Order: sequence, then C-alpha cells, then structure tokens
Amino acid sequence: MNYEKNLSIGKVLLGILTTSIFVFLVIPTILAVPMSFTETRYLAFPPEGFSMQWHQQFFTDRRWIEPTIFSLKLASITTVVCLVIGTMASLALVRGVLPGKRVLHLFFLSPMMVPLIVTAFAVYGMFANFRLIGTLTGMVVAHTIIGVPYAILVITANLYRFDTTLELAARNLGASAFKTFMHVTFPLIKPGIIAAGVFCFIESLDELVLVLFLIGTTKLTLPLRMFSEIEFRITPTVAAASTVFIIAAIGTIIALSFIERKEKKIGLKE
Amino acid sequence: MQAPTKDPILRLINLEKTFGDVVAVADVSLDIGDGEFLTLLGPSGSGKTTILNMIAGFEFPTSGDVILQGQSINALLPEKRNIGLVFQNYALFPHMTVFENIAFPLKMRKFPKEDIQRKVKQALELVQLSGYETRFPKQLSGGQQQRIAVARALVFDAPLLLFDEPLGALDKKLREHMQLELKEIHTQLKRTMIYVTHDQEEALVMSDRIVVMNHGRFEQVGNPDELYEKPANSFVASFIGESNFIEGTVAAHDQRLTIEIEGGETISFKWSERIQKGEAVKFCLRPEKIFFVADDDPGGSVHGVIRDVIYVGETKRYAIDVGRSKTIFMRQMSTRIGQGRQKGEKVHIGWHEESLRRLSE
Repeated sequence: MNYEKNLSIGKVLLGILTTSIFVFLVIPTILAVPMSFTETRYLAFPPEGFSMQWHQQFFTDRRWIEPTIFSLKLASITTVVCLVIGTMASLALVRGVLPGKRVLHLFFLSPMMVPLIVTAFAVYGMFANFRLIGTLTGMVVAHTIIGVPYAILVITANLYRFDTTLELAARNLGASAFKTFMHVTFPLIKPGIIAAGVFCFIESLDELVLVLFLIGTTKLTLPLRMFSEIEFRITPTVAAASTVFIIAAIGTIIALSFIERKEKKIGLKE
Repeated sequence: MQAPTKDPILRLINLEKTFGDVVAVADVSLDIGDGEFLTLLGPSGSGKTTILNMIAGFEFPTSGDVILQGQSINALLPEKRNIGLVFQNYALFPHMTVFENIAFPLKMRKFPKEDIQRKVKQALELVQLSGYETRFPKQLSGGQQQRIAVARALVFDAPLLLFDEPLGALDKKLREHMQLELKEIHTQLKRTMIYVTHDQEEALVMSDRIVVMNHGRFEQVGNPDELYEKPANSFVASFIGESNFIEGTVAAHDQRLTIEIEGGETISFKWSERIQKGEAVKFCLRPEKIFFVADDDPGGSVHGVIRDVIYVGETKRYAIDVGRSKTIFMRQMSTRIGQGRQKGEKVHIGWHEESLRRLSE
C-alpha cells in the first residue's frame, strides 16, 4: 500500500517535471511556427490573420537566400572534413598501437571542453596571420575544430563495440585491407558515422560565436542574418526561417529512426 | 613423430612464436598429409590457436617456416593464402545476407555472376541450408550460423581448411551432431582439415591424427587409439581419458614388482620387464581395464576397500582405497549383473599386465 502511494507521488512529481520542461523549453521553440504565419509586419503573438508572405520572403529574398546557401555550404563541407578526420583519428585511437593513446584521446576531445569564446579568440589571432578571416576555408577549419571531437566521440564508441574478428574473416576470405574496410568495417560503423555527421552538420549550421570573429565583411551565415534581423527589426521572416529549421530537424529525426528500424530488423542493433 | 600417409600438403618447420618473454609456440615441426583430418588438442593457452593463426597469416612466426603445397607462405598476406577458416564465434558479416556472406570470397576472387550463384547453391546444399539465402545471420540459430560459416569457408575450394574451436559455443547435443556432420563433409570433400579444440572427446571422435599440445610444445602426435592406449607421458594420459597413476621407487622386483609409493606404503603387481631396485617409476592404468578378482586368485591382485560407488548411467565408478593414501579408480559397465559391489566391502582387484603402461616421466 505504502509502496503504491509513494509510486503515485513519484508519478505526479515526474508529471510536473515533464510538463514544465515542455512548457519552458519546447513550447517557445514551437511558438515560432504560428508566429511565422502572421499578417503583421512585426512579430506578434497570438498571430493576426494568416499569411505565407514571410516564408515566401525567406525563399525568394536574396538577403535570406544567400546566407542560407552559404550556411548549408559551410555545414556540408565541414561535415565531410570532420567525418574524414574523425574516422581516421578514431581508427588510430581505437586500433592503433600508439604511445600515450589515452592522453591523445583526451587531447582530441579537448576542444569540447574549452569555452567557445576562448577558441574563437585564439583562432582569430592565428587566422589573421594566414589571411583566413572572411574566407569559407577559414570558417570550415574553425568549425572542424569544434566538430571533430563530436565525430570522434561517436565513432570511437562504435569502433570499441566492433568485433575485429570480422575483419580477420574478411582478410582470410580474400579481401585486401582496403576492401575489408570498404565492405565490412565501413558498412558496420556507418550508423555511427551518420550520427556523427548529423552532429557536425548541426553544430556548424548553428554556430555563431566563431562566425562572429571570422566572418569579415562580405558574407553572412544564416544564424548571423537572423541575429542581425532580431537586433534591428524583428520581422516575422525570422520566425519563418525558424520554422524551416524546425521542419528540417524533425525530418532528420524521422529519417534517422527509419535507418535505425531497418538495422534492428536485421539485428545490427539491439 | 609419425609420417603422414600421403605427400604433405602443409609443413610446419621449426615453427616458433614468442610474445615478449612468453613462448606461445616452441619450435614445433609437423607434416600434414593431403586429405588428412588433423586435430590440435590442448588446454587453453597451449599454443594451438597461435599455430592456426600463423597458418592463416594473422600472426607472423618468430622463427621457422610454414610451407603450403611446397611453397613458403610466411611472407604472404592472409588474403593471398587461399586457406579456409571457420571461427569460433562464426564471424559472419551481420550486414550481409546468407547469400552475400557465402558469395563474399567468390566476389573477392572476381568469379563471374553465374558461377557465384551455382557455387553458393552447392555450398548451401552441402550444409543442408538451401532456401536460407535471403536471411540475415542474426535471424538464424547458432548451429545454422556455424553451418553458414562452414559453407563460406568451403565455397572457394581452398586446399586447406582450418577450424578454430568451431563448436565451442553450441550445446552438447548440437555439438555432437555437428561433429558427425563435419566428419561427413570431410569424407565427401576429401579436403585437408586442421581442427583446434580443447575437447578430447571431440578430438577422438573426429580426427585421423591428433597433436596433443601443452605449453607451446607437442606432447604427442598419433591417431586416437594410439594416444589413448599408449600415452607417451602423464600429461597425455591425464588429458585424454581418465587415468590412475602409480608412482614411486622400486623396492623389490622378483615375481612381482614392488613399489614404494608416497607415504612409505608399498604396492605390488606383475611386471615382466626388469627394473633396477631404487629406480623411480610411473605407471598409468585406465579405470575400465581393472576388474574384480576372486579372493584366492593366485595371479597376484591388489587388496583394497571400496570407499565410494558412483553411478554414472551406463557405467559404475568405484573408488578403491589400496592404502592409507592411495586410491585407485575403476569403472565397470552397469549391466554386469551380480558383480555390483557395496561401499565398505573388502575387494581384490586386478588387471592384465599389458593394460599397464610405464610412462617416461
């Protein structure tokens, strides 16, 4: 009896916690969606009327399209670079015979622990010397610095679980070291690589601090465009941009869960 | 060491492997005949898997040579050796179907598509799993997975097949069934097979020849009945089957050989070969070769008291104290009516002289 009572109090508390997380964290995010449909020229809640003009503006106005394309380009290149470096580093950290492997592992993860503003300051000073300020290359390098630790974190976890006798089996069956990686190792750590890729992409797409230091004067990223819009005018286009972001995020989650379901079906994942 | 019946397909010549200070395999040589089923038998850590790994190319010998079909393969990468290998944990590729798994070695060898189809089909028929092509490994039972692993190792017609404790993960019933099935495949294909196991029963059932290993060395090489009937030393005698050991120094040798055993007691029995007084000796005697004799048997028997009778199904096991500190175990078929003895009974036991084997150490 007593136990049941405790349980119900616990359940009530859990319910309150869940509800407040939802109210304070999720709802403000979702509120951007109805606000983006307002007819007014300013952000209003509740929205007045119904209009798609702000979404239309986001997809047609050069001042929005160019930063969006630039951000996607930056995030895509960063993701590829992060995954190549992250996979190679993970293989070395898990499989390699290296002195001080643990220390090296921590060193590779250290950019995650250093405050972003410190990294930004350091990178700014160095990049100025190399004339990398205001270039796509410079920003890719900067985002790679913060993206690689995420990639290593996820991919090494996958590699530690990986049964290396599968690679021996492949070699025994006539596959070279390279073919073994392509046909056996890569397909099996691919879920980890995809997850790492999503992390790196979002990290880069979302990042503002490093961009503020390195952007120069010619280009804008989407978060920076939104930030300056909010600073000066607060038009509903910001809400429209947010809506697009939210839909993209939900789409990604659905896509990932489909991949996961397929893997569960053939027993790749518990 | 006994020579194989046919030309050796594989020769191990003074093969040695050390890991730091640890000697995993110590200077062993062996010829393996074409079509032979040879088992490397030993406890874990005896170096049997290390030998297999050196043949497969996963380990590089510290010294010595591995000769396959007349050519040294020491410098060859694993993928160039063309040797089939079945792993203990199956090592099937979980992201590939049964068909893709078995086709993998053929694809790597760039076989044409029709040949791959045909050979995979044949291999599946051989392991009796036709119709499972589209399944994934995780959708199969342990026994089925192991059969797919066997099919994958067979499908590319390697002249030599290696098995690394392939049945270790299966339950007893299934293991015994798979032993016979593998034996059947060996008879059908006449392919040379080297089998690694720590299970002496499995080794006896399956092998043409057995190599008993301990601490990286070959203790004895021989066919199953040789090893059982004529163990070369006490390790082999105790590792294969059950043994009584009678160990001590010769106190007298006239009609009977009298040995002073541990604790100052003596035990005496018939032994023809002359042994000097004072010499240290060790004998091995299988429990099933001992029998009860009548009290007045003149042939010379050993007196004892039954300490324990253990019923183990088809046989009964007697523990007989023949002295304060010496117990001899004997085994009798349970079906022998009227021969059953009780606990505490005074008995005389005997054996034929040729059942007794003197060991070198």
